[in-house]
Amino acid sequence: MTRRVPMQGLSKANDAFLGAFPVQFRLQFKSSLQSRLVRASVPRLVLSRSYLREIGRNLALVLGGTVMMAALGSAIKASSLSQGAPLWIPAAMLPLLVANSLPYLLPASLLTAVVLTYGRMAADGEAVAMRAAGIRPARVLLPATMAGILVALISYPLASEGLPELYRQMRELSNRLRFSALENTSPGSSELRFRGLSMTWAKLAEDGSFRDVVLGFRPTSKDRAFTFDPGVLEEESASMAVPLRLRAERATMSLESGELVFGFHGLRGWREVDEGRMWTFANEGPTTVRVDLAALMSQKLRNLKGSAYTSRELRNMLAGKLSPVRREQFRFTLWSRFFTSLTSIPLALLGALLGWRLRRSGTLAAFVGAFSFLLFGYYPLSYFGQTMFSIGVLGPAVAATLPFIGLCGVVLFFALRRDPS
Amino acid sequence: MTILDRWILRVFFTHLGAVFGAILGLFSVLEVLGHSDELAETASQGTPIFWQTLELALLQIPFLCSQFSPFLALIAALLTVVSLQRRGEWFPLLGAGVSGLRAVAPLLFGVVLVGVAMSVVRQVVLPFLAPAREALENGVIHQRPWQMVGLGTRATDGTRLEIQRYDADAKRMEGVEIHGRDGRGGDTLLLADSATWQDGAWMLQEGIRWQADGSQNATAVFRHAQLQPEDLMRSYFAAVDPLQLSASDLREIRRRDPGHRQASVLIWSHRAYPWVHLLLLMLGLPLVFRPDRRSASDGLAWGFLISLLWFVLDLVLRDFGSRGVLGPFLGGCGALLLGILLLIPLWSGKFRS
Repeated sequence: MTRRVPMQGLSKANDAFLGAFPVQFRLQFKSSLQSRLVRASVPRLVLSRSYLREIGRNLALVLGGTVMMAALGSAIKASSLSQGAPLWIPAAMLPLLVANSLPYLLPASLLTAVVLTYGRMAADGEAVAMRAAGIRPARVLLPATMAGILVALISYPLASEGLPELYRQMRELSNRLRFSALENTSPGSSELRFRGLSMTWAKLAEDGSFRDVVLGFRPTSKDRAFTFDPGVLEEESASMAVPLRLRAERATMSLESGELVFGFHGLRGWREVDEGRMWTFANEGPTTVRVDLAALMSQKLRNLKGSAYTSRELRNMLAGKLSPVRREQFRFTLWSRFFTSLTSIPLALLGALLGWRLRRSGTLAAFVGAFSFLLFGYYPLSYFGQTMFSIGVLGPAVAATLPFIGLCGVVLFFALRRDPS
Repeated sequence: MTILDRWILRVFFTHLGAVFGAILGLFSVLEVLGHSDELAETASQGTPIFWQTLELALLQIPFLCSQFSPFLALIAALLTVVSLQRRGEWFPLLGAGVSGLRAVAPLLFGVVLVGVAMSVVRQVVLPFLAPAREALENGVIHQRPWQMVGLGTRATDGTRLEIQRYDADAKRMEGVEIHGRDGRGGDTLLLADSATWQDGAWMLQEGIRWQADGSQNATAVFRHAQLQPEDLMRSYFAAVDPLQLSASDLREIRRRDPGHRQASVLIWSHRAYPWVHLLLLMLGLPLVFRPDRRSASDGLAWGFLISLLWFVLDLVLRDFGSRGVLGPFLGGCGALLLGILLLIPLWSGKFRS
């Protein structure tokens, strides 16, 4: 690029073209244009790299800002959902919630970054200069296309391998949350509830024991620990048809080797024999009850939806036996992951076309514009495709492709329209 | 209030509206998008969910407002300072001899106003909307009717009510157990298949009262001043979402359960809440109100960072308070106190260039 070669005289078009760029670029281009051995496309490659770097910089800034905002919102949500739970619960939820919002933030950030880059390009007259130099608009869109391809290459493995793992971790956390109340032997309130077991007391003594205790046990699988608890896991048949009711003057609770150990003093109980008859029992001395926590925690979740599995797992399951409904669901998940990632390319192109129109509008305006387009255009289309598949109107592949096709249509519409400038 | 004060306030409230709208809109949309699978599934069952989803998103807004408002007020105030700085409006003011504190007084006033308004939202609006929001969330997102399962509440005399299921709309309980004591201190147990709230009392179906000696008698009506439908609702939200409760609800919970540390901590947190707005602004202002700063964007970034750090600190201290590691006062107000300590070096002029 810096080789000295005899100057041949530059054309006026090249002068006009070069005049739009900073001095450093002009020197590089002059050297390139002067050299007979250097191809004419080299300055355009330099341009492409420069714009690609600018898109990358803008993407990092916008994505970083939106992830920070998402982190703040996720922290608030994690806190409100897990009030009273041990601190490790919201701390573990926070990165999961932030990562879960990445599929929505990444397209918006890419669109914003490309809008900003091409908007600056248009505002500084670089787009006009390039067109005047004979560079086709499609060629000018190459950096945006490359950015879209790169983001697609990043987001596909994220969607197909990373996010399902996150989703499973959230489900496990929810399951774990049910037991966190039991593991806390110094509860923040005078009651303890877990899956049909309820224990309330009048006060906590100085030695840590509970006074005037009422304990009831009515097995049910429908209890929810917290609001994001998915609720019913498996239908269980109640091992005890008749509820147990106990009262005690004093009770202790401790955790020993995976077992929750209750010790009761002055225990009285009620047990219904049949309708209208009840027998009571009492034990002035100590009574011990042990609950195996490990056995309770080992329950597996069944019938997870497609997004809970990685693409590799889905393909393995599709190769085996599945109900027709589950088969279609998994196919839809696979197709939608692929086309959602591929959507980055038309999104980036759309960003470039919008940027040329918006010019230098500012980061906030670019982000609002980008997010508005996604909110009122892309996501409704995606939701429409999902609904059409759910009710059986469209097949999995067609329904998953709908947002991608819609976006390509919008890109074509803007591309064929005359630029108002 | 001078013309300048009113002008600064107007700029502040304009930025506040924009920031609230942008952030709340963003999070409402993310919330809906995050549940798009569940919404699609509900829609596929033939349930018309568009208006319900919209209603749910609208009901979320007061909650999001109350949670985000200290941070958003800070960002709006910092944006106000930045925009006035860019237009060169601060320097004539300072050059005319107005002190820095007097110059930003309208911002302090505005932020306190926001804090007071949001406190009212927390005390009045959130508890009022909580049942409707919970019912919609269950129906639209979790695809099940809202039923409070495995619920219990207690009275100050030690009587404890345990139920299997409660329907808030019908005010009907199922699987009722009421543990109490008779006049001699002996145990009593009142069982009923169901109970419906009518005319200020619970009408029991198949109600039987058992005494400690094993005797029983049929009971058709149960009355207790502290075991009413609103007490059940309060107990439900205390268990699943205590941030929806007002300070008076939390005080009532603590009155019936003096060992409820979480309620004690949240009461102090409610008291500190309006002052948090003012404190965050006073922490953020020195970082952005500097004539030597080339760009105020890093000041805004500091604003975000302060908000995030503050939030984490508040969460950690509240958790310590609920666990008993810290007392309720330190658990609920600890972050505020630490912030006040940090104010001293920031505003003493030592850290100004």
